[in-house]
Amino acid sequence: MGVWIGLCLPFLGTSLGAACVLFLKKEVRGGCRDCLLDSQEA
Amino acid sequence: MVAASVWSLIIPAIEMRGEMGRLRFLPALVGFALGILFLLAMDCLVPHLHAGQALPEGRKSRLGRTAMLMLAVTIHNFPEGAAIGAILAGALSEESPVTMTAAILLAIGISIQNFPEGAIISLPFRAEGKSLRESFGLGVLSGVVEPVGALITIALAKIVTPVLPYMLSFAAGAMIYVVVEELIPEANEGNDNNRGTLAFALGFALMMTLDVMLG
Repeated sequence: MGVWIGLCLPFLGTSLGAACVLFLKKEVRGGCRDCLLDSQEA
Repeated sequence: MVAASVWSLIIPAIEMRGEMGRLRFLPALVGFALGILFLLAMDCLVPHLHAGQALPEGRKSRLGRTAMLMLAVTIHNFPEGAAIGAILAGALSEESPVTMTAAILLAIGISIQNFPEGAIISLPFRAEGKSLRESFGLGVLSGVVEPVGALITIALAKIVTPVLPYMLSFAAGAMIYVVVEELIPEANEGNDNNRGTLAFALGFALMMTLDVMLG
Protein backbone atom coordinates (compact mmCIF):
# COMPACT_ATOMS: atom_id res chain seq x y z
CA MET A 1 0.00 0.00 0.00
CA GLY A 2 2.75 2.44 1.03
CA VAL A 3 4.61 1.71 -2.22
CA TRP A 4 1.60 2.69 -4.32
CA ILE A 5 1.05 5.87 -2.29
CA GLY A 6 4.72 6.73 -2.76
CA LEU A 7 4.49 6.11 -6.50
CA CYS A 8 1.25 8.03 -7.01
CA LEU A 9 1.84 11.15 -4.85
CA PRO A 10 4.45 12.86 -7.11
CA PHE A 11 2.37 12.14 -10.20
CA LEU A 12 -0.70 13.53 -8.45
CA GLY A 13 1.20 16.76 -7.69
CA THR A 14 2.16 17.19 -11.36
CA SER A 15 -1.39 16.43 -12.54
CA LEU A 16 -2.96 18.93 -10.13
CA GLY A 17 -0.47 21.56 -11.26
CA ALA A 18 -1.24 20.83 -14.91
CA ALA A 19 -4.95 21.14 -14.10
CA CYS A 20 -4.38 24.84 -13.33
CA VAL A 21 -4.66 25.45 -17.06
CA LEU A 22 -8.29 24.28 -16.94
CA PHE A 23 -9.32 26.80 -14.31
CA LEU A 24 -7.24 29.92 -14.91
CA LYS A 25 -8.86 32.78 -16.78
CA LYS A 26 -7.76 33.72 -20.28
CA GLU A 27 -6.09 36.93 -19.07
CA VAL A 28 -3.85 34.98 -16.70
CA ARG A 29 -2.85 32.60 -19.48
CA GLY A 30 -2.11 35.64 -21.66
CA GLY A 31 -0.02 37.04 -18.82
CA CYS A 32 1.90 33.81 -18.72
CA ARG A 33 2.63 34.15 -22.44
CA ASP A 34 3.78 37.76 -21.94
CA CYS A 35 6.14 36.64 -19.16
CA LEU A 36 7.63 34.03 -21.46
CA LEU A 37 8.07 36.51 -24.29
CA ASP A 38 9.67 39.07 -21.92
CA SER A 39 12.14 36.52 -20.60
CA GLN A 40 13.00 35.44 -24.14
CA GLU A 41 13.65 39.05 -25.19
CA ALA A 42 15.83 39.61 -22.12
CA MET B 1 15.25 18.16 -2.37
CA VAL B 2 18.64 18.94 -0.80
CA ALA B 3 17.48 17.93 2.70
CA ALA B 4 15.76 14.82 1.32
CA SER B 5 18.95 13.90 -0.58
CA VAL B 6 21.03 14.11 2.59
CA TRP B 7 18.73 12.58 5.22
CA SER B 8 16.64 10.18 3.15
CA LEU B 9 19.20 8.99 0.61
CA ILE B 10 22.88 9.64 1.45
CA ILE B 11 22.85 8.97 5.22
CA PRO B 12 20.90 5.66 4.85
CA ALA B 13 23.29 4.67 2.01
CA ILE B 14 26.26 5.22 4.38
CA GLU B 15 24.52 3.42 7.29
CA MET B 16 23.84 0.38 5.09
CA ARG B 17 27.59 -0.21 4.71
CA GLY B 18 28.44 0.06 8.43
CA GLU B 19 30.59 -3.11 8.20
CA MET B 20 33.09 -1.19 6.03
CA GLY B 21 34.09 0.95 9.02
CA ARG B 22 35.75 4.25 8.11
CA LEU B 23 35.34 3.47 4.41
CA ARG B 24 31.54 3.10 4.67
CA PHE B 25 31.14 6.37 2.81
CA LEU B 26 32.70 4.91 -0.37
CA PRO B 27 29.54 3.37 -1.96
CA ALA B 28 27.67 6.61 -1.25
CA LEU B 29 30.50 8.65 -2.76
CA VAL B 30 30.66 6.49 -5.90
CA GLY B 31 26.86 6.51 -6.35
CA PHE B 32 26.69 10.28 -5.78
CA ALA B 33 29.44 10.92 -8.36
CA LEU B 34 27.72 8.63 -10.89
CA GLY B 35 24.41 10.49 -10.36
CA ILE B 36 26.07 13.86 -11.02
CA LEU B 37 27.94 12.54 -14.09
CA PHE B 38 24.80 10.88 -15.50
CA LEU B 39 22.78 14.09 -15.30
CA LEU B 40 25.72 16.09 -16.69
CA ALA B 41 25.84 13.72 -19.68
CA MET B 42 22.06 13.97 -20.18
CA ASP B 43 22.25 17.76 -19.98
CA CYS B 44 25.03 17.89 -22.60
CA LEU B 45 23.70 15.24 -24.98
CA VAL B 46 19.90 15.50 -24.96
CA PRO B 47 18.48 18.50 -26.83
CA HIS B 48 16.08 20.29 -24.49
CA LEU B 49 14.51 23.67 -23.82
CA HIS B 50 13.60 25.07 -20.41
CA ALA B 51 10.31 26.99 -20.14
CA GLY B 52 10.93 30.72 -20.51
CA GLN B 53 14.31 30.30 -22.27
CA ALA B 54 14.90 31.28 -25.87
CA LEU B 55 17.82 29.00 -26.70
CA PRO B 56 17.83 25.20 -26.36
CA GLU B 57 20.55 23.29 -24.50
CA GLY B 58 22.27 20.04 -25.38
CA ARG B 59 23.06 18.80 -28.87
CA LYS B 60 21.67 20.67 -31.87
CA SER B 61 18.58 19.03 -33.28
CA ARG B 62 15.55 19.65 -35.46
CA LEU B 63 13.11 18.72 -32.71
CA GLY B 64 10.14 21.04 -32.22
CA ARG B 65 9.73 23.40 -29.27
CA THR B 66 7.12 21.13 -27.65
CA ALA B 67 9.31 18.05 -27.84
CA MET B 68 12.30 19.92 -26.40
CA LEU B 69 10.21 21.35 -23.52
CA MET B 70 9.04 17.82 -22.75
CA LEU B 71 12.63 16.52 -22.86
CA ALA B 72 13.70 19.24 -20.38
CA VAL B 73 10.99 18.11 -17.98
CA THR B 74 11.95 14.47 -18.47
CA ILE B 75 15.58 15.25 -17.56
CA HIS B 76 14.33 17.13 -14.50
CA ASN B 77 11.83 14.48 -13.40
CA PHE B 78 14.00 11.40 -13.90
CA PRO B 79 16.11 11.95 -10.74
CA GLU B 80 12.95 12.46 -8.69
CA GLY B 81 11.53 9.17 -10.00
CA ALA B 82 14.84 7.42 -9.27
CA ALA B 83 14.85 8.90 -5.75
CA ILE B 84 11.30 7.72 -5.04
CA GLY B 85 12.13 4.26 -6.45
CA ALA B 86 15.38 3.97 -4.49
CA ILE B 87 13.86 5.03 -1.17
CA LEU B 88 10.82 2.74 -1.66
CA ALA B 89 13.18 -0.12 -2.49
CA GLY B 90 15.09 0.73 0.69
CA ALA B 91 11.88 0.72 2.73
CA LEU B 92 11.01 -2.72 1.31
CA SER B 93 14.47 -4.12 2.05
CA GLU B 94 15.12 -5.67 5.48
CA GLU B 95 18.80 -4.70 5.38
CA SER B 96 18.11 -1.01 4.95
CA PRO B 97 17.51 1.55 7.75
CA VAL B 98 15.03 3.40 5.48
CA THR B 99 11.44 3.41 6.77
CA MET B 100 8.22 3.60 4.75
CA THR B 101 7.37 6.85 6.62
CA ALA B 102 10.57 8.42 5.26
CA ALA B 103 9.65 7.23 1.76
CA ILE B 104 6.15 8.73 1.99
CA LEU B 105 7.60 11.99 3.36
CA LEU B 106 9.94 12.24 0.38
CA ALA B 107 7.00 11.51 -1.95
CA ILE B 108 4.96 14.31 -0.28
CA GLY B 109 7.90 16.74 -0.60
CA ILE B 110 8.36 15.92 -4.29
CA SER B 111 4.59 16.07 -4.84
CA ILE B 112 4.43 19.63 -3.42
CA GLN B 113 7.23 20.87 -5.66
CA ASN B 114 5.70 19.04 -8.66
CA PHE B 115 2.55 21.17 -8.41
CA PRO B 116 4.12 24.34 -9.90
CA GLU B 117 6.11 22.18 -12.33
CA GLY B 118 2.90 20.74 -13.79
CA ALA B 119 1.56 24.27 -14.15
CA ILE B 120 4.69 25.68 -15.83
CA ILE B 121 4.39 22.96 -18.46
CA SER B 122 0.67 23.20 -19.25
CA LEU B 123 0.37 27.03 -19.12
CA PRO B 124 3.07 27.82 -21.75
CA PHE B 125 1.58 25.17 -24.06
CA ARG B 126 -1.83 26.85 -23.73
CA ALA B 127 -0.24 30.27 -24.27
CA GLU B 128 1.36 28.91 -27.45
CA GLY B 129 -2.10 28.12 -28.83
CA LYS B 130 -2.60 24.44 -27.94
CA SER B 131 -6.09 23.36 -26.86
CA LEU B 132 -7.06 23.09 -23.18
CA ARG B 133 -7.15 19.29 -23.32
CA GLU B 134 -3.82 19.07 -25.13
CA SER B 135 -2.12 21.49 -22.70
CA PHE B 136 -3.49 19.62 -19.70
CA GLY B 137 -2.57 16.25 -21.25
CA LEU B 138 1.02 17.33 -21.95
CA GLY B 139 1.33 18.65 -18.39
CA VAL B 140 0.10 15.34 -16.97
CA LEU B 141 2.32 13.40 -19.38
CA SER B 142 5.38 15.30 -18.13
CA GLY B 143 4.90 13.61 -14.74
CA VAL B 144 4.64 10.06 -16.09
CA VAL B 145 8.41 9.63 -16.15
CA GLU B 146 8.49 9.70 -12.33
CA PRO B 147 6.39 6.60 -11.49
CA VAL B 148 7.94 4.79 -14.49
CA GLY B 149 11.48 5.65 -13.33
CA ALA B 150 10.55 4.70 -9.77
CA LEU B 151 9.19 1.28 -10.82
CA ILE B 152 12.34 0.55 -12.87
CA THR B 153 14.53 1.53 -9.90
CA ILE B 154 12.52 -0.70 -7.50
CA ALA B 155 12.79 -3.63 -9.93
CA LEU B 156 16.57 -3.14 -10.33
CA ALA B 157 17.10 -2.85 -6.57
CA LYS B 158 15.13 -6.06 -5.95
CA ILE B 159 17.21 -7.98 -8.50
CA VAL B 160 20.54 -6.78 -7.11
CA THR B 161 20.05 -5.82 -3.44
CA PRO B 162 23.77 -5.01 -2.76
CA VAL B 163 23.56 -2.08 -5.16
CA LEU B 164 20.90 -0.33 -3.08
CA PRO B 165 23.37 2.07 -1.34
CA TYR B 166 24.72 3.02 -4.77
CA MET B 167 21.19 3.60 -6.09
CA LEU B 168 20.19 5.75 -3.10
CA SER B 169 23.25 7.97 -3.49
CA PHE B 170 22.97 7.95 -7.31
CA ALA B 171 19.47 9.43 -6.94
CA ALA B 172 20.83 11.96 -4.43
CA GLY B 173 23.58 13.03 -6.87
CA ALA B 174 21.08 13.40 -9.71
CA MET B 175 18.70 15.47 -7.53
CA ILE B 176 21.51 17.74 -6.29
CA TYR B 177 22.56 18.31 -9.93
CA VAL B 178 19.03 19.49 -10.82
CA VAL B 179 18.87 21.74 -7.73
CA VAL B 180 22.22 23.45 -8.39
CA GLU B 181 21.93 23.65 -12.17
CA GLU B 182 18.28 24.63 -12.48
CA LEU B 183 16.27 25.34 -9.33
CA ILE B 184 18.62 27.63 -7.34
CA PRO B 185 19.36 29.92 -10.35
CA GLU B 186 15.59 30.13 -11.07
CA ALA B 187 14.83 30.92 -7.42
CA ASN B 188 17.35 33.79 -7.48
CA GLU B 189 16.10 35.42 -10.68
CA GLY B 190 14.75 38.95 -10.42
CA ASN B 191 15.58 41.84 -8.11
CA ASP B 192 14.62 40.26 -4.80
CA ASN B 193 16.60 37.04 -4.40
CA ASN B 194 16.20 36.97 -0.60
CA ARG B 195 12.81 35.32 -0.97
CA GLY B 196 14.32 32.38 -2.86
CA THR B 197 17.03 31.96 -0.20
CA LEU B 198 14.50 32.11 2.66
CA ALA B 199 12.17 29.67 0.87
CA PHE B 200 15.11 27.27 0.38
CA ALA B 201 16.04 27.53 4.08
CA LEU B 202 12.42 26.96 5.13
CA GLY B 203 12.04 23.92 2.86
CA PHE B 204 15.39 22.48 4.03
CA ALA B 205 14.50 22.94 7.72
CA LEU B 206 11.01 21.47 7.23
CA MET B 207 12.23 18.35 5.40
CA MET B 208 15.06 17.83 7.92
CA THR B 209 12.65 18.14 10.86
CA LEU B 210 10.06 15.81 9.34
CA ASP B 211 12.66 13.26 8.29
CA VAL B 212 14.38 13.06 11.68
CA MET B 213 11.16 13.18 13.73
CA LEU B 214 9.07 10.77 11.65
CA GLY B 215 11.61 8.89 9.49
